[in-house]
Amino acid sequence: MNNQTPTLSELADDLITPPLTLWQLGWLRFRRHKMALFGGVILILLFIFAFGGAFLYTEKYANFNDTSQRLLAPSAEHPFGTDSIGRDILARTIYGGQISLFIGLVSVIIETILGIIIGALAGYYGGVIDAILMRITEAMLNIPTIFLLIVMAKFFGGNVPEIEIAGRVFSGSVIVIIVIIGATSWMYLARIVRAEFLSLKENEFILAARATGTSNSQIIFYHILPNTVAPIIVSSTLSVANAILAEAYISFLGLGVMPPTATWGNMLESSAKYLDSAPWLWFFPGMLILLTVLSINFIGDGMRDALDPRSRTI
Amino acid sequence: MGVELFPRPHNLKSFTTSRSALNRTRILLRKIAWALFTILFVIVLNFFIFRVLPGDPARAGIRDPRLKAEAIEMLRVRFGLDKPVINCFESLNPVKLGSCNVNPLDTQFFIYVRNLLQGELGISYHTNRPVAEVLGERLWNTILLIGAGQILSIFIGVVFGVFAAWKARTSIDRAAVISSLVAWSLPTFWLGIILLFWGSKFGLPLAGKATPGASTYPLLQQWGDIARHMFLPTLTYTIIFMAEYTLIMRSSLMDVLSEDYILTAKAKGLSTFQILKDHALKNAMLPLVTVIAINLGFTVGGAVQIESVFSWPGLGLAIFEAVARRDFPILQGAFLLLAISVIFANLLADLTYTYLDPRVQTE
Repeated sequence: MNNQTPTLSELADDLITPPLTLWQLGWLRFRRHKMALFGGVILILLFIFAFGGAFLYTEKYANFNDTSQRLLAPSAEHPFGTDSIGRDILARTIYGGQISLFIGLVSVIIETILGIIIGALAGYYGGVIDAILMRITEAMLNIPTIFLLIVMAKFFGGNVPEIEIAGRVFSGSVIVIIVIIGATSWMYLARIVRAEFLSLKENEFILAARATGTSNSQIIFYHILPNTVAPIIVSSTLSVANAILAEAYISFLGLGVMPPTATWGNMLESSAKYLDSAPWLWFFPGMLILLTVLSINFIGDGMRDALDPRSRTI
Repeated sequence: MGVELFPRPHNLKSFTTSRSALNRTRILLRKIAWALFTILFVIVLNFFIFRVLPGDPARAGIRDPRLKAEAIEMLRVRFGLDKPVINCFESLNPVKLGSCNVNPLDTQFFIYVRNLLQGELGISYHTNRPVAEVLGERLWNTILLIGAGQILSIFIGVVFGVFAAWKARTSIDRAAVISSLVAWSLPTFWLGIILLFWGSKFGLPLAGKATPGASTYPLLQQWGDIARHMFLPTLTYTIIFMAEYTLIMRSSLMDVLSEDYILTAKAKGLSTFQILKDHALKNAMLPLVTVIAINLGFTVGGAVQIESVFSWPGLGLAIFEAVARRDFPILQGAFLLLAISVIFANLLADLTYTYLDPRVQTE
C-alpha cells in the first residue's frame, strides 16, 4: 500500500501550498518587506555601534570629566563634541546606547511575562477571574502610563545603591526603571493574549486535551500559548520602541537613570539649556533614539504582515 | 435597474432593524454601567496608590524645617492625616496595623470618598489652594493647546492620508508613509527641542503662555501674544499626531478602495473625485473617528512631554510640578480627572462607532 510515487493530487497540493511552517512562511514574507529589512540592518548597525564601540573607548573614559574641555564642538579628537562638564559625547553615546537598548529589551521581557500571565489567566479561566483582572487592566489603561512612570520613578528612584555586574558599576536606578517600565506597560499585551485565549480555548484540540486529563497549566502553556506566539512577538517588538522612548523621557526629566551611568535619555537632560550654543549635546543622542525607534517600528510592521496567520500568500 | 438577484424578504429587514435598535440601547446601557464601575475602581486605586508610595505625605508636603512639632501636628489635622487610613490600618507605608474598631466613616478613605461625592478634591499641600481650582485653571490651558493641535493634525492628516491612498504605490505615497513613520517615531520632547532651536532663530517666544505683564495689553494684543506662545507647542503636537492620522487614513481608505462597490462605481464611469467624495471617504473615516475619540482622552495627559519642554502651564506641567513637590492631593485629583476623561473618551469612541457603522450591532 505504501506507494513510493506520489499521486497526482498530492503533487497538486504541493504546488498550491508549499508545506511551510508559519515561521518559514513568515521569513519568506519578511524578506520581501524592504522597509523591515532596512530597519533590521539599521538596528544591527546600532548594536554594533553600542557594543562594538566599547573596544574604542573605555567606560572610564566615557565618564571622565575634564572641565577645561567643556562644550567643545565636534572635532577629530571628539567626533561628537563634549558635554557641559567636558565628557566625550561619542563615548557616552556608545555606553549610553548599551544601557538604553538593555533597558528597552529587559523591560519588555518583564512586560511580556506579566502580560502573558494576566492575559492567559483571564482568557482561560473566564468568569470572576477574568472580570477582576480585566478591571485592573482597564483601570491601569485609563491613567496615562507616562504619569504612572513619572510618579513611580520619583518615589522609587532617587537614592538607590550602585550595583556591580560583570565588573562594571551601574547606577541602581537602571533596575528601578526597568521594573517600572515593565510594570506599567503590560496592559495591551494582556488584552491581546486574553483575546487569543478566548478564541483558542473553544477549539476541539483543547477539548481533546481536557478529555485525556491534561492539567490546566499544561493546556495553558503547552497547548494554547504556542499558538499565540506570533501576535505576542509582534506586540513585544513594538513595545521595545515604546520602552526606549519612555526611558528617554523620564531620564530627560531627570527622574530616570542617574549619572554617571549614561543613557541616551539622560544625556538630553540638561541639553535644552545649550540649545543654541551647543546643539551637538542634544542632536546626537536624540538622533540615535530616533533611529532605534524607527528601525524597531519598521521591523515590527514587517513582522505583523509576515506573521499574519490568516494570510497564506507568500 | 430594479432587478435583484437575491431578493430579500421585506419582513426580515424590518425585523432586523427593530432588533438592532433594541440591541444598541442594551449595549449602550451596559457600556455606561461598566464605565461607571471603572471610575469607582479608579477612585479606590487612586487613593491607595498614594498611601502606598514611600514618604509620609505630611513630611513630604510640609518640609519647612523651621516648623515646630505642634505646627506639623496642626497641619496633619488640617489635611486629615491624623486619622487612620482605613479600618485596621494606621498607615500603609510603612505598614502599621491599627485598631479595627474605628468608626469607618472617620477614616481617611471614607472622608476622601465623601469629599469626592461633594465635589471636593482636597487642598494642595504646596499652595494651600483647593485642588479643583488649581487643576481647573491648568485644564483650560491644556485644552487650548490640544484643541488647536488636534484640529490642525486631523485636517492635515486626513488630507495627506487621502492623497497618499489615492496615489497608492507611487513615490508620493512612499514619501508620505516614510515621513509619517519618521514623525511618529520621533521622541516628542526631542522634536520639541529641535523646534525650540528652530524657533529661537525667528525670535519666537520659547516658554510659557504669555509675556510677563501681558495682562495689561489690550485684549486683541493679549490674544496675539498667547497665539505666538502657542505656535511652537502646537506645531510639535501637530507633527506627532498628523503622522498617526495620515497613516490610519491612508490604510483605511486603501482598504475601502479595494472593495467591490468601488469597482462598480468605477465601472459606472464616475470620476475619481466623485468616487472618493461620495463612496469611499465616509466609510474610510470610521477608524479615524474612533482613534480621534480615544486620543482626545489620552492627550489631556499626553501633552505632558510638550508642556514640560515649552513650560506651557497645563495639566501635564502641574502634575510634573506636583511630583517634584510631593503634592499628593494635586496628583490624586489630576489622576482622577485624567482617568475620567479617558473613560469618557473610550465610551464616546464606542458609541460613535456603534452609531456610524451599521454593521456593528452586537459585541
